[in-house]
Amino acid sequence: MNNCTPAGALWTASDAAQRDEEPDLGQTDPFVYNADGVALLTGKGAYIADLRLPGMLDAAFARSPIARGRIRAIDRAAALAAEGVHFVATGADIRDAVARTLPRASMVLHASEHAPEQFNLPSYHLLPPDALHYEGEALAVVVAADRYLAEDAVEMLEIDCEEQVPVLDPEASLSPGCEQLFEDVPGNMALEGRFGSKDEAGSLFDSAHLVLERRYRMNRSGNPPLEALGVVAQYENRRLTVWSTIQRPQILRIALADILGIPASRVRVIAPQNIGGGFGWKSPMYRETAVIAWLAMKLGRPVRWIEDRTEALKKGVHERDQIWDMKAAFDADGKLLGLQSEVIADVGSVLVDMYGLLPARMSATLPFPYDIPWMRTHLRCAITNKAPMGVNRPAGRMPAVWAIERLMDDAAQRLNLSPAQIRMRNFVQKFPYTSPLGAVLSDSDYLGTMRKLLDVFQFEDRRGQARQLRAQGKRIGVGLAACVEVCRPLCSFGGALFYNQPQYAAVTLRMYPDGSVSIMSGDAPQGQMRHTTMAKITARELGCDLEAIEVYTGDTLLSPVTNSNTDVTSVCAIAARRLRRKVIGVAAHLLKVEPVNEHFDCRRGQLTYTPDGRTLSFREIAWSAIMRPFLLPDGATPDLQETAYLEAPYAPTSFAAHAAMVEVDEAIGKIRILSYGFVGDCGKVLNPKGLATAITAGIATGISNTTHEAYIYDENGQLVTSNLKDYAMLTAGEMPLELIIDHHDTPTAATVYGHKRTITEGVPAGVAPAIANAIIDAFGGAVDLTEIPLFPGALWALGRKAAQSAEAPQ
Amino acid sequence: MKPARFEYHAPETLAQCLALLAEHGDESAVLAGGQSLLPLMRFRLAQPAHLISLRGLGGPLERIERRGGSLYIGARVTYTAVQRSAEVREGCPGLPRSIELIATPAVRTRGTVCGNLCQADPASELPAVALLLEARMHLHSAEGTRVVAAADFFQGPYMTARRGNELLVAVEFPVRPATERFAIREITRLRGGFPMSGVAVALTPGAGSALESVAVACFGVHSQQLRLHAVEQVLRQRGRTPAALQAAGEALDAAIHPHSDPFASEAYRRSATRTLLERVLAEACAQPSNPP
Repeated sequence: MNNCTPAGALWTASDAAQRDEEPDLGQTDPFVYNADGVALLTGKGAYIADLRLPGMLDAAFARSPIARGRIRAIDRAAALAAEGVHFVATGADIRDAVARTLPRASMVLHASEHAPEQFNLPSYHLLPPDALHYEGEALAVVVAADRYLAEDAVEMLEIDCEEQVPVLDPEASLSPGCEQLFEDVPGNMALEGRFGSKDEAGSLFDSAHLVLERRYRMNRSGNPPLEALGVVAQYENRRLTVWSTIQRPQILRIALADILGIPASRVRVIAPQNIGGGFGWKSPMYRETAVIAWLAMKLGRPVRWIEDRTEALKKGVHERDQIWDMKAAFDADGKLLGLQSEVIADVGSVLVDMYGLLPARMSATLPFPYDIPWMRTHLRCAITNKAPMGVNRPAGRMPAVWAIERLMDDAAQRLNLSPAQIRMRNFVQKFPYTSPLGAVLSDSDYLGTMRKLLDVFQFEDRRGQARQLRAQGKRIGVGLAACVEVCRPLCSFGGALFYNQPQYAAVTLRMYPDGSVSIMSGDAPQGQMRHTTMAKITARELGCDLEAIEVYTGDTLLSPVTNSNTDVTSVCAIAARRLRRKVIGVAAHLLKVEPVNEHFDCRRGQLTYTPDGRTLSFREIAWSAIMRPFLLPDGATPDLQETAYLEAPYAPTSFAAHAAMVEVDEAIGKIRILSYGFVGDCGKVLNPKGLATAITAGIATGISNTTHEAYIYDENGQLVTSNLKDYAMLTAGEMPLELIIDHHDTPTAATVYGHKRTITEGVPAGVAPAIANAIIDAFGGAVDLTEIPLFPGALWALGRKAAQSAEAPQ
Repeated sequence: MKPARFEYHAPETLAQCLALLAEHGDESAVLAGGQSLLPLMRFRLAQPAHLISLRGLGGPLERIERRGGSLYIGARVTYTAVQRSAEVREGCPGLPRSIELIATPAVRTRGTVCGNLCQADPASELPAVALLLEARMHLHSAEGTRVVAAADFFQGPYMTARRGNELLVAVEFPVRPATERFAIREITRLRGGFPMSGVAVALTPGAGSALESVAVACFGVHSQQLRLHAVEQVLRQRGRTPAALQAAGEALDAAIHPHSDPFASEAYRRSATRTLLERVLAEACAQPSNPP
């Protein structure tokens, strides 16, 4: 398998040997330490909107009021003359002013060069000079003394557009004869991919006991963070500094340098200490970010753009929005023998970094937990006049999990099997396992995890209870789902597409003469308690005092190049162990003994030479090394700094089993989730409390995507759900009455502590089918539910249909 | 999402406030809790040239008072204050129970009852409750004072009888008879959200399935809140028998014209509203005769 590990960066055998020292981050620490929470709880969080620079101007974007059309003219005279306005720019202005529009660090650019026969990149502009492709697309920008004046001036721009009929349905977009939305994308097909078994299916489908042909659809929703985007850019002494709510500051630096035509060494990107949620949504480089940086350079004053909610929801990026036509062959015992999937993904218009890669990545590497001997997937990504598709947790796979987990229940119902039986008959049992699509599943126990869920949730008991309650006229049901999670590309197709990015974690630890340590990570945490994790791991492995550690994240000037949401746990452990060896080396010299690792004990900033009990403080050691280098042996450097890189030798996969018990009130089209069960296998659990919090949040998103959140366009391509009243993200009031969260841990050999790192990202995916399967069970199987999100009106209609078919003469 | 330009006024006396309203009239908006007005201004759906804040006004505007057979709730009194008021809980228990359904605690500590009524949002609970409980609006202007019954006050979606130069100084809720029972239910996408349908009922049960008195109002399901007189008539005449409930449901169906949206079709809203009517009637009748 392909691997882009920097030389010497892999964790070593001796690192692995130390794995028995497992840190418990959550419970047994002698004192409560939460590097992330204190500032937030005391109102001292530092978010992008808290940043003020002298002379800073505010920008506001004019956005397309129509879904499709052409700009005839923009008259900016009135806006320019308005109070406080400094500058107005349009797409035509910016087109000629930048070095390039699509940075070489872009994944899609790389992908299209790598697989041009599969990929069609539409033309790309920072602001559109003529064609408009979706409602809410930025088309001009005003810079003014404050945001109020900027918005006033935006209203004064006279934008003359020629409106065209939008294409909103992905199937219509791909059908022959549909108008082409981009000159350079024939057939509106952004990407086409065929993945899977090389052999033909032969008679597989003809001879199978049961062949199911089903369409499952998950419409547009996502996981927009509560804090929208923000950018502040400053250009001074030929250096560009950009503060941005970006999950990948290192990538943004490279991209901005490329677009603006200046060396990356003059660009510094800083992700603020606090980012109000990311979920992948803050992963791409948005066009607005480059525009703001360009404006700061052009105007010589700091320029700020703080996105508002309407902009955020209209601009995107959106997600889900896939149609899965599945043809599946089962034997009489419920064994899934073959699966053919035709997938249509609506990737919207314009391109935001990952774009069609999301469905491609997931279709190509479908990490189903099932051992499916024959499998093929044909993916077509359609361009439409909607907001672009981009990463939203769980990054492209939710519609696939929806489809397969509904399919399993549909087959079980027809074969008269329980939902647990059919899944357990199909689970992969031997690891590592390579699927027909090339995905490699590792270090897991799906059967054991499912059994634990069935046990802790008392699934079969509840199933019986539900049946009894239904006999008494109640609508109560239970449902199951299972899903594999993976956060890194797994096969050569996905891998090649994605390897224009660093996938490795990286961190620098620096010890100062007083023995204190700064941790400098290029990761930009968005609320995952990562500062706490990094500090605790480093303190434990280095043996320094926790209070002597300060964590700096998101600043490209301080940190080594890395991606976001990487395995900071492993990389901090490795760097800390290496730094510990350096500390021991200096101490051994000072104590005039051999630097034998096992002879030294480091705790809370105190080193003990165990053979004779002599001690040195980290302060004494570091001060000697750095301030009195003449104490060091000849040729030694005062080096108490360590940078470590980490790429796991293979991508660990985690797994989760979900169960839901719901009560349906079909007369008013509402459900109540009486209980929700989740058992995850994320390897070694390091921080149980933090993990439970993240899983709970993932369940909330999953429920929200099942029954609440939706991007809905009207027939003119206007987004109907452009505020949180209509977009309706879940709140505490809709959470399950009971949550049962547990773990079944199968450690992986791919990380330092055996943790898998990837459990929480995928949680929402399993929730939708678990709830839907429970709803179907509540109707005793008398309804067919293939499309989500499911709103009250639709649930009521399902109930009506069930009642009508029950009344119909047999 | 920044409001358009406006001039801010914070009068210190009612007279100053009424003078400002007289001067600016329809060009102005009154700011009490701001929980509806400020979002509308941020979307630039409302662009008042003058914003007249009530924050400097004290006295009766800040108070809940019981005088004679009525409760008077001043213009600055928040939802939370009404919920906490022992006098309201005793004299008009349906009001705090309805307020529980409004938004979230954060909104309720700022939003005001009078502000809600002046907003006349067709999805809001309180205009329906005001119709149901026959509230009276005390409107003051520089020219004088008038009292308008709820039935005359609400004139359409977001439209009331309040003139541009008037301030709703207080809303008067008649103290309810101790035998009366109240129930309110609604369907929202999110708890505290705007209802897709809602029904409130105030009734006094009689012997058997008979009803001595009954008032029914709906919200969120029609272009404005409705007092459902035809439904009331059926129930008053025929009690709560299954046949009467069927007829009441039909009367309800005839009175409303729900709209369709992606979340709730017209047919769904009609059916669900009938379900709500049955449920509030059942709930009210099942309450103990002297609720705690």
